[in-house]
Amino acid sequence: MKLGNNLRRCRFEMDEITQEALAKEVGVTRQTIISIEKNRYVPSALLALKLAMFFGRKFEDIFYLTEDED
Amino acid sequence: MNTKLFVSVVLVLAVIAFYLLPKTRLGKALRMNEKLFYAINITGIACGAAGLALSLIMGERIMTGHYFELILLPAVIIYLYSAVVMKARGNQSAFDEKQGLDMTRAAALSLPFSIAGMFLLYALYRESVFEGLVWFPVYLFLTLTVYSAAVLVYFRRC
Repeated sequence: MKLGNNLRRCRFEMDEITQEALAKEVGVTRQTIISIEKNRYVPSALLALKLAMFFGRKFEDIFYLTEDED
Repeated sequence: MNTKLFVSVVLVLAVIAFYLLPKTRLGKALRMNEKLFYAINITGIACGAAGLALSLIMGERIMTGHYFELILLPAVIIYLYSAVVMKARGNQSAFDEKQGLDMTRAAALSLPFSIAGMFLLYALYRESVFEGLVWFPVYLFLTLTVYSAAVLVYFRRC
């Protein structure tokens, strides 16, 4: 099992906010946002909750469990 | 100017800056950002690679002439700047969580490299390829290069 996310969709639904702007809002670097979107980095609970709060959604609306591809 | 004296003065000023700067207005204005993170690691790679090459070319002269301190100086200054930023920010981390993870992973990768490097140096000394104190700058700059490069690779790999 791994953690998937709808971060990219959330960004587009929020006036296509850029990765840079989102990163600034939640206090991380743009590379961190890119890594999360590509499922190459699993954010901490704190960062995941900050992202959910920023988009005004529940945690589980953005993050979900998914089966490993391999 | 005597290199030893110059480096000593720089280090004393650096230590004073580390304790005094965070308490000033300037200290509060200092910021850590993505560009500075790149700058820290690019400086580490540049100093490490230059030091490693010169150690292999100049041999022990890099130690006796105190050139290795001069080569290391830009990296020391930029690391010190980041230390001042971290001190000024108190409990709030200067790096984000992924940067922290990237540095941890790079440190974990550097460890086996530095152990392998030490074994290689030991073999080169046994075969009398190297002699004197050249092991120190070679080891130091090799570790610095591997660590800084690994941090950047992990940070960019997203």
